[in-house]
Amino acid sequence: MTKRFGGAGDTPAGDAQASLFVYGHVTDEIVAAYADQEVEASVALEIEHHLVGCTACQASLRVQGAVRDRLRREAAPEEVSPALRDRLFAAVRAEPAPAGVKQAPERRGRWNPGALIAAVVMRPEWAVSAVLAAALVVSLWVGSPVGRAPVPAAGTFAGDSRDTAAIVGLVQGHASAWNARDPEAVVALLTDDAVWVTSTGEEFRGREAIREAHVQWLAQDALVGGTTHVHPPGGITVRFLREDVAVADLEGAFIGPGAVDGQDVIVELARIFVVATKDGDAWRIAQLRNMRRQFPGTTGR
Amino acid sequence: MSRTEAEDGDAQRRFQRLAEPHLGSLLRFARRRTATLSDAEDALQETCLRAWRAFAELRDDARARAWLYRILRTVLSDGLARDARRQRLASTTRLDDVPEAELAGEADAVFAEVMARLTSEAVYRALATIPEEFAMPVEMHDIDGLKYHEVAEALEVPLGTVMSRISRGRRLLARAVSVSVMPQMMTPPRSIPAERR
Repeated sequence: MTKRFGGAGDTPAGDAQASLFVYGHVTDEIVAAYADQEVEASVALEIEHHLVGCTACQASLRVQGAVRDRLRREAAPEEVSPALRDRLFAAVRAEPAPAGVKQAPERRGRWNPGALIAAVVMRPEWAVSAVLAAALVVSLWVGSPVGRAPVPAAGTFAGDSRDTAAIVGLVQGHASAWNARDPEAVVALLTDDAVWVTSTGEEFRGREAIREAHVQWLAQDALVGGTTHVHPPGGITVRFLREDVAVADLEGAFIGPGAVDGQDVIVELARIFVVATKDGDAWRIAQLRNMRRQFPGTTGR
Repeated sequence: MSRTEAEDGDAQRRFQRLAEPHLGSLLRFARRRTATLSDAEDALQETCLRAWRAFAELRDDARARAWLYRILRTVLSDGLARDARRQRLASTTRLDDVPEAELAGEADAVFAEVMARLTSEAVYRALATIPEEFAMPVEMHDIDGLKYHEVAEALEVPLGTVMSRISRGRRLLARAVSVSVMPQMMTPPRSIPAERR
């Protein structure tokens, strides 16, 4: 009777998308899934092709999007008061751990892209899990003294833990902005005269140029099905050169539909170097350089 | 401290770490289905307890959210006997009774604009009129931000069912809005070509 969560044999994605068209139109389910970015890249392309000339399907898409977008505005979570939270967990503490609870997973150690690629290829839905897990781990890692705190190099400023958290927040903020397809959110992370250098050596100077570059990158990204950008927290090191100047060296990945069968794979691995400056209380990215990393067994974009 | 107590502490911390980020949206989800905030808090309390007792079920931490929603859903449906409101509504509005042509009637060009201007109150009033089997997946996805596969796990239905319930649930909601806010939109659909359905 016990149903296991996360085990083999859970609902596989994909088989539900067998019938794309009925009577020459995209079915409403598929329109909804397309609107919600829940279809594979190849399916999305086919739908986009059809949408161009079909006003009926365009109308369906508008209804699905309009209802969803309106509901999304109700998304502010209910406030959980400290008293309620205490009450919830006090009840849990009053009972011993149930039998068979696995040990807490190992959270430290180096990120292993190879293992993640293998995992994502085998279980596409893990890409989402990986993102959630990364978000969870980073929040713990930032707040916890037992986490793998960046070690300041000799002769440099140690930096307040809040400063470190703010810089990690900048880095993760860019990933969140990417995943939300929101160039404005990228710009909010930058100094006015920020410089952004891509892995191919292209250079963008200033907020507006970087914003425009993101608009273009995101549009290109959408064409291949849309990628999720992640920074494994174990792969971020922060060093304070001065109280108000820090450098961060980090790893990043873009996870998205692969070229072969549309399953999610890591489509790009990067090593990124960031210079951040502090103005008042706010840390911002002053300069960023992206370096493409090679890894075996995959094809880049 | 004995080894067992240390293990209990580890498990409790892990549980708390996994549950805590979702408490706000779980409470909100419960709140839409209970008469008072206090009832919603009780449902959340019961959910935490049941989740803790069944913690061994959860093998993949990243699935904690879907798992917690599944438990909350069970807690709420157990409590539904006390509050038969939704049950009654669910039995009076069967999707099968609704002609497809009517469901497609909201595709009017002004619909998106009308929808965007709805007040929260009107949105929730409309949500309360559509059957739970459609309202739940729509709310889980659109308001609470669960992905389709998480909704499937939370509702214990196949992914294809989630897709169809979300799309049809939104149609029902659009129709409920059309009926309450703009009755004129229920006149025969104008912008839908005959071959649409």
